[in-house]
Amino acid sequence: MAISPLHITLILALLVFIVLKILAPANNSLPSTYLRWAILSGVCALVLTPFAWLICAAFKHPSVFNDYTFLPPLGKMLEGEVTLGNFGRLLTNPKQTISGEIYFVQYLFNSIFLACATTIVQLLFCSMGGYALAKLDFAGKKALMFFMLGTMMLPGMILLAPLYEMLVRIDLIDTYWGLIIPGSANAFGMFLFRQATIGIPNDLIEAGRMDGCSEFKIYWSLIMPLVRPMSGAFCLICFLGSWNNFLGPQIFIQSPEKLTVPVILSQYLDVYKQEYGVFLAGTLIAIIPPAILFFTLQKEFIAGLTSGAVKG
Amino acid sequence: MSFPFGKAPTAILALAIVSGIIVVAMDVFRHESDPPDLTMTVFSGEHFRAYLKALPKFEKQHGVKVQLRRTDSRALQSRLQAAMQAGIDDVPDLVEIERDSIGFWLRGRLEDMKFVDLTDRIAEEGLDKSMVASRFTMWSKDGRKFGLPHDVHPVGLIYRRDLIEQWGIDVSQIETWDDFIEMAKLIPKYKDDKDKVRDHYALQMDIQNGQILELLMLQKGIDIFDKEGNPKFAGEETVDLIEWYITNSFGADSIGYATGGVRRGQDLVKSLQEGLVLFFFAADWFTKKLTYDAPSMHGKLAIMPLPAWEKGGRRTSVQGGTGLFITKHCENRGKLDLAWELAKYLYTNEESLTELFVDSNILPPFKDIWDHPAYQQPNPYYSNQKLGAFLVALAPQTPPNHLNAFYAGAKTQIQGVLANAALYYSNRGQAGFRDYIRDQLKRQTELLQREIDHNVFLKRPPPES
Amino acid sequence: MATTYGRRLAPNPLIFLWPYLLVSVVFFVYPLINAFLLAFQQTNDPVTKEWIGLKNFSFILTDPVFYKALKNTAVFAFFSIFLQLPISLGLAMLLNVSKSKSKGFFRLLIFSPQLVGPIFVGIMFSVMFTKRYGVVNKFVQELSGWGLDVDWLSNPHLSMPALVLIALWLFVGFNMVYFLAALQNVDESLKEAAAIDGAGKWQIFRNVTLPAIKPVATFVVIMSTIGSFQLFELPYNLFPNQNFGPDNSGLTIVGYLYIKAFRNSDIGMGAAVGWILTFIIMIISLIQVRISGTARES
Repeated sequence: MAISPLHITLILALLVFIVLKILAPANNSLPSTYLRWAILSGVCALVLTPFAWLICAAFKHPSVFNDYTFLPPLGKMLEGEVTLGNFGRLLTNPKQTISGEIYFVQYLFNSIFLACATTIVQLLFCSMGGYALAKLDFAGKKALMFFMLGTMMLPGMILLAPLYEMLVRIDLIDTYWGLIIPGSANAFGMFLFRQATIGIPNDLIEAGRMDGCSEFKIYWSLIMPLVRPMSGAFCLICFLGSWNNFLGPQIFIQSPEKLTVPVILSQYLDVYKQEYGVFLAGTLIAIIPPAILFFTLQKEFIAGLTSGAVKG
Repeated sequence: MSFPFGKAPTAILALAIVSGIIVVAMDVFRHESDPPDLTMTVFSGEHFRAYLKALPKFEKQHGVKVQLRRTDSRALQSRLQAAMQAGIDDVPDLVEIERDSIGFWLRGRLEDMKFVDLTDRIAEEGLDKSMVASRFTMWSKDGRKFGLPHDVHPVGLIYRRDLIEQWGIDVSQIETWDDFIEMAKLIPKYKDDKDKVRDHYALQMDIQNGQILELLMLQKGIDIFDKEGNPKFAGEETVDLIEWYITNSFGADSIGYATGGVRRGQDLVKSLQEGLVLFFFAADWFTKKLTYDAPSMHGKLAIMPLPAWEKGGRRTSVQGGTGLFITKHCENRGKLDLAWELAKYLYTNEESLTELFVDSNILPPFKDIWDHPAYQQPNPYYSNQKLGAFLVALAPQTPPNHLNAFYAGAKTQIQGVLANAALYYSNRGQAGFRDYIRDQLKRQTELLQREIDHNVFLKRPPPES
Repeated sequence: MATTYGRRLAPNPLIFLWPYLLVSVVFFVYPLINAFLLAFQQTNDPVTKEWIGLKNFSFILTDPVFYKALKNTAVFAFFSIFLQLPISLGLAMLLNVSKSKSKGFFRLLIFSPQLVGPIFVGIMFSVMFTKRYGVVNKFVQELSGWGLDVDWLSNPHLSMPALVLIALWLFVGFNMVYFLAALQNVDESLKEAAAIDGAGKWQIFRNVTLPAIKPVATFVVIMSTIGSFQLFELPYNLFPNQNFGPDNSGLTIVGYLYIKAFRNSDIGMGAAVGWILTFIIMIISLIQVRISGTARES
C-alpha cells in the first residue's frame, strides 16, 4: 500500500513534535504545553506537506509522476522509479538557442547576479532616501511623502507598457539595468528605512556634525551601522522579490542567454509539451538560494521587518 | 569606508560582484556573430530544432544569414505585444504564432495590421490550392490572408485497443456518436466491485478548459465567429451539444469522465494507463506527446476517426494551430522578398517537413508532400497503424475555424457556460436545463457583443451603394 | 530642526534623495502621465489611438465582468483579513509562550512557503489540485470521505475556496511573524496586574493584549488589503490557460486589468481599470486608517 497524504502529514507532525521535544527545556512538560505543541506540530505538518510532495515529485521518474502521490514503494524505487533524472535533464541538457547551447547553470548565475545587484542597489538608494526622510528637514517633505504613499497604491501593471517604451528609448531594453534601475529607489523601501532611522537620537547626528563629518559620512558611518536589522530584512525582501520576478524578465529581457531561472523553468511547460518533473526539480533548486539567505538572516529579518510596524 | 550594512549585505555585495564577473566572462567567451539578414522567432522546441537543421541549406542557397530564436509562447506574446504597443521595431522579420494568441493581432483595421498581407503571394504560388484550405481561415481577416498554416492538426480518437478488443468491441462499427454511446454500454464499469469507485469510462471529457467542447462544436460546424467576426455560437445547435456533453459527463452511468484537459492534463496519461478513460480526443501533435508521457502504452493504443454527428458527416475536427507571419517591420526594411522565400522554403520543404512529421507527428498542410513514404510507415506505438496515412485521410475534412480579436475572450466565456452548466446539472438535473444553457449562452454573447461594440477600430463605414 | 544647529547650512537633502527623484521622474512620473492620458483613449498600437473620452470608464463601470472581479477580490480580501489574520494571530499567541529555541524553529517552518515564488506556487498547486490523483483531493477524501473526483479548478463554486486555501498556506506565516514580534513587546506586568485584578483570559486578551498590538494589527490589515487588491500572479498561474478560473470565478481586478490591457491589447482600457483600482485602494486604506484612528482615541 502506498503512502497517502494523511500519513505523510501525520509523520511530519510527529517529526516536528520530536524535534520540539529535543529542543525544549526539560522542565517544560505540562499537559498544556504538550497540547500546544500538538496543535503547532499539526499546523507545521500541513505547511510542510506540499514541500514533501514537491520533493517527491522532483525525484520521481516522469513515467510514474501520477502513479504515486508521494513516493513509489521501496522495491520500485530501486528499479529506477526514483531518480535524479529530472535534475540531470535540467542541468546537463543545454537549451539550443541562437547564442549556442546554454546550460542551466548560466541561468542560475544570471538570476544570482540580478537578484544580488538589485538588492544592493535598492539597499543603498532606499536607505539613503529613508534617512533623508527621517532626519533631514526640507521644503516639500510632506508633499513628497504623500506622493510616495500614493505611488504605493498604484498597481504596477498599468505602468508596464509605458515603462517598456521608456526602456527602449534610453536603450536599456534587454539589459539587466533595465530591470534593476526602475525599481531601485522605491517608496516602500524608503518608508521602511525611514521607520528604522527615525528613532535614532538627533544628538548623534549633531555630534557627527561637530566632529566635522560630511553629511554622507554621517549617514554611512554613523547611522547605517545602527539599522543593520532593517538592512538585513530589506535585503531578504528585495532578494526574494527579484529572484522570483517572472513578468519583468519575461518581457524586458530578450537574449536567450540573459534569461532568468523562473522564465526558463516556465518554458518546460510548453504549449505542446509539459515536463512537470523537470519544472518541479527546478523549483526545488530555485528555493535553495532564498532559503540559505533566510536561514542566515532570520534574526535580522524578524527584528527589522517588525521594527517599522511595531513603532507604528 | 567599510560597507556599513552588516555581514549578510556584504556577502550579497560580494556575490553580486563575483556573479557579475562570471556572467560577463561567459558573455565574452560567447562569440559575437554578425548581424543577421533575417530574424525569425518560434515558440515550439520541435519547430526550433527542425528549422535549425534546415536553415544552413537556405543560407547557402541565398548567401544570407538567418537568426533563429526560440521563446516561450507566453513570453513571445507579451514581448511582441509590448514592442508593438510601444511602437518599436524591436520585432523579428518572421514569427510563428499559435492559434490561441493570434486573435490579438487581428484587432484593428486592415491597414493597421502588423503583418504583411500575403494573399496575393499565396495565390501566385498556388499555395491556396496546394495547402489545406480550411487552415487559412484562422488568420484571415476580411478575406485577406495574413499567415501561412504550419499544420493541419486533425483530431481523432485514441483508444485502448487492448482492452476494447478484450471486451469484444469492434470500433469499425462506430460511425456516429449515437453508435458510440451504444458501444459504451458494452464497457464494464468496474474492474471489481470492491471499492465502489468506478474504474472505466468510455470517453474523455473536460470541463476545465472547454477544449473538447470547442472541437466538438467545430466538428458540428458551429464556428465561434462568422466570417464578419460576429459571435454565432449561441444557437440551438450549441444548446443541444452542451446538453449532450454535460448529460454524458455526469451521473453514475455517464459515458464520459471529465479529466483535467489536454494542455495541463497531468491526470490524462494516468487515467489512460489505468483504463479509467478508454477513448481520448487527440490531435496529431498529441499522438507524439503521448509517446513521451506514457511509454508504457506502447502497442496498446490505436486511433480512429471521430464518430460523426449524423451518418456520413464529418469524422474529424481541429485543435490548435500555428501560423507563420511576416512583420511589417520586415517589409519596411526591404527584406520582404527574402522573408517570403524563407517562409516558402520552410513550409513547403519536403525534407524538413517530413523530418518534423517524424519528430512530432504533426501533419503539414502542404498536400504535395503527403505521398512521401514516411506517411505510410506503420507506427509501432499505435499498434502498427499507419498514423501518417490516417491523418492524411482526415485532413481534407478539417473544419474552418474563424478567429478574431475576441477569440480568447469568447473561449473563456464558452468555458464559463460549460462550467456553470455542469454545476447546474449536478445540482438540479434535467429540469430547466436547456433553458439554463440557452440563458447562459445569451448572457455570454451579450458580454462579447458589448466588447465588440466598444471597439472603435472595427466600426467600418457603411458599404457604399 | 536643522536650522537650530547654528550657523551651519541646512544639509542638502538632494545628497540622499537624488536617486529617488531621478528614478521616479524617468521611470514613474513620465509613464504615469502617459497612463493617465491613455485612460481616455482606445489603443490599437502607438499610431492607432483614438480619443474616446470617458467611454472606457463607462464601459468598465457597466461591465458585469468588472463587478465580478471586484466581488472576487473583495471576497479574497475578506478571507485574508477575517480568516488568515485571526489564524496568524492565534498561531503567534500559541508560539509566544514557548521558549526561544522552539519558537524560532516553528517560525522558520511556518514562514517557509514565502520562499517559493508565486509562479511556482501557482503551478505546484494546479498539479496538487488534480482531480482524482491530486494530493489535495486525496487528502480531503481521507479526512472527509468526499472530494476525490472533485475538480476544484473547474468548479465555479470551488475555485475561490482553492485560492483562499493556497493563500492561507502562503501568507499565514508571513503575517504571524508580525504578530509574534508585536506580542513580544506586550508588557507582561500589565497582564499580571490584570490577572491579579481577577480578569479572565479573554478579558486580558481584549483589554491588554489587543490594544498593545493594535498598531501592528492595523499595519498588517492595511498591507493585507492592498496585497489582496493587487493579487494577480497566483490565479494567473493556478488556472489552466491563464483564464482565471471557470466563468471568471478566480478573476481579480488586476487580472481584469491584465486581460483588458494585454490579452485584448487595449492599453487605454487597462489604464482606466488601473485608475479605478487605485481609487478603490485609496478609499479603503483611508477608511481603515480612520477606523483604527477612532478606535485608538476612544
